[in-house]
Amino acid sequence: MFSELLDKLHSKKVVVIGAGGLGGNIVNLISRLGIGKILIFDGDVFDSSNINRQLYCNQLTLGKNKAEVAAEETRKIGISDAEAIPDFFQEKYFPLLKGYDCIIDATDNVNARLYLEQVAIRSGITVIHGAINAYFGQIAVVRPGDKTLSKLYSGKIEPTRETISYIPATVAALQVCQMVKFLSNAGALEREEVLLVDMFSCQTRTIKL
Amino acid sequence: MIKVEFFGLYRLNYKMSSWETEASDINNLLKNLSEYNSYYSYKELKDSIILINGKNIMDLRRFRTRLKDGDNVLIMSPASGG
Repeated sequence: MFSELLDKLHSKKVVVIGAGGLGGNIVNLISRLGIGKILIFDGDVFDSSNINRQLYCNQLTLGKNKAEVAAEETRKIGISDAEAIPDFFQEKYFPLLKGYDCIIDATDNVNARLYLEQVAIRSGITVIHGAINAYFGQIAVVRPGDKTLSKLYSGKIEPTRETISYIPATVAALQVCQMVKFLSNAGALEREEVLLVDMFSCQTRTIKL
Repeated sequence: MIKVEFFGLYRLNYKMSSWETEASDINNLLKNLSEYNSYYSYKELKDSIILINGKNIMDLRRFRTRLKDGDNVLIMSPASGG
C-alpha cells in the first residue's frame, strides 16, 4: 500500500533545523520513512530539563550535542543517510541547502522562525513550520514568498510555557504528515493556511491568515 | 449574538473556549471582553490574531469591521516554542 510513496520519499533530501522537542520526534519519524538524506542543525546540548519531552534526551546523552545524537540514532535505524551540523543555522550554511527538497522548522523562538521565512525566499525551499506552547500548537507549509510567519508573529506573542511529552510528539507527527503531503504533491496545507491544534480539548482548526 | 472562540493560551488564561456577546464592531467587542474578563487589556487584545467568519480582520476594516448577529469571531495567539 505504501511502497510507491516510500520509494518516492527515499529519493528526497530534508533539512531539520532544531533537534529538541519537535526536532527529535521529526528526525525519528522521517528516518523510519526512509528519507534519502537528512541534514540536522542544532547548536545545543541535552540537559536534564529536556528529559520530559525530547525524544533523544536520556541519561546517556546528557551533555551531548542534539544534532549529533539525532544523526547517530538515524544511522542506527539504518535506512536514511544523516549528517549533523552541531551549530545553529546561519548565513554561512546557505550553500549546504542546495539540492534539498524541504526544510523542517523545529526551532524554539520567534526570531529563528522569522529568519526561516527569509531562508525560504533566498533558497527557494519550502519550510514546514511547527510550534508549541503548553497544550497548543500550530503547523503550516510556508512556500517561498509566503508571509505566514510574519503574519503569525506580528502581534501578541505569549511567553513559552512548560509542555509535556505528547505535545511536541503530536505536532511533530503533523509536521511530518504535511512534509509527506508536500513532497508527494498530495494536498498539503495551502499557502498561508495554518492548522491549529489544541491538545487540552483534543480539537483542531484550520485558518487562513 | 456574536460567538467568540478562543484558541491557544487564551483558552487557558480565560478558562473558557468560547463566549457570547453583543457588539457592533471589533473595537466594541474587544472592549466588552476586557471588561468581562480583565486577564488581557483592550490594548493587548488588539495585538491578537482575529478572524471573523474565517477572514482576517487585517483584510477587512481592521478594528472597525462591523459585526452582525450570528457572526463567529476567533481570537488567538501563536505558539513559538519547540
